[in-house]
Amino acid sequence: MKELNLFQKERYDCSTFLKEIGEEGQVKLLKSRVFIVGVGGLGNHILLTLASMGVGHITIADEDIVKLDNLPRQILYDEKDIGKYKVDVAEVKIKEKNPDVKINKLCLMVDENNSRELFKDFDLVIDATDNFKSKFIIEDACKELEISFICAGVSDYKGQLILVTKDSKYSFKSLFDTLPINIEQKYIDEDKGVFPPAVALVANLTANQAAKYLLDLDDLLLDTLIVIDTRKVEINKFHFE
Amino acid sequence: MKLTVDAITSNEYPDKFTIGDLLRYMDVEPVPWLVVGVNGVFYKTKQFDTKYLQNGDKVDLVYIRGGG
Repeated sequence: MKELNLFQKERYDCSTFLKEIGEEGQVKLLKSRVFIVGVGGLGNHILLTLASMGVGHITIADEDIVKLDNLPRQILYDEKDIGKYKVDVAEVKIKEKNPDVKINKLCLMVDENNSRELFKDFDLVIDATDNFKSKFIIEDACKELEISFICAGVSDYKGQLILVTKDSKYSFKSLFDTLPINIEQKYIDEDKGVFPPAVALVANLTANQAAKYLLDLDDLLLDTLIVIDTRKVEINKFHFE
Repeated sequence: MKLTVDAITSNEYPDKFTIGDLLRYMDVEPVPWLVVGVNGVFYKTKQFDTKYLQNGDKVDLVYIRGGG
């Protein structure tokens, strides 16, 4: 694809009117390949935003089924979807939302054994998983493959995200002196709740970073941890020393 | 000295105060998923007892979230 057809020109004109994007940028998005790991709370919003704006090739991976207590924050799913695999429901919803998007669903857990093979052909991997162990596995695979990735996390009213590219000096793991793999369960048990607007906000800032990266915009905020606090209505940026 | 910690400003903090001192003063456990931002730069657990805070510093306690 070298240019937009008439239908696409109308569909994406809110983006193409932006001088930094234009039709050339929209074509770039339609050619982009993004892998979203996890279609829970964060993954739902990220997928919906990126698909709606015309990121053309999206793979989603998740082995969970839709449950009743997912519905307040996982906006792609309805009561009638309870018991179905999340990737199956998400695929149908996204195809209805934007037929321009080629969606590939994988009903599996991304782990140490499959991550490198799964990620190898993508422009960007987005980590929307719900535990530290998966985040570290995704980071290791992406760094080995030299694929850019965004790691996002959220709980209660707060969350954070970091974009890591081949030009980054630091990554998600750089935040820790001791990797908190084995204590994650304790942490979750102590603090299970999450405020649905916090999920949406962290996810959409993640989609914002993803789209900027795919469009090759020049204000990517590398080596920066973006921290969101919905109670205080604050978005702060922290840099490595 | 004066510090603003998680958006609350107080003049009652002692001088020569490290991040570690502040966490102990606040009775906050330095868990591995806690980083502390000082004026927009964050510090990890091993730096808590060597990074001295200065009068007027803005300090943020950031718990890294693993949830999705």
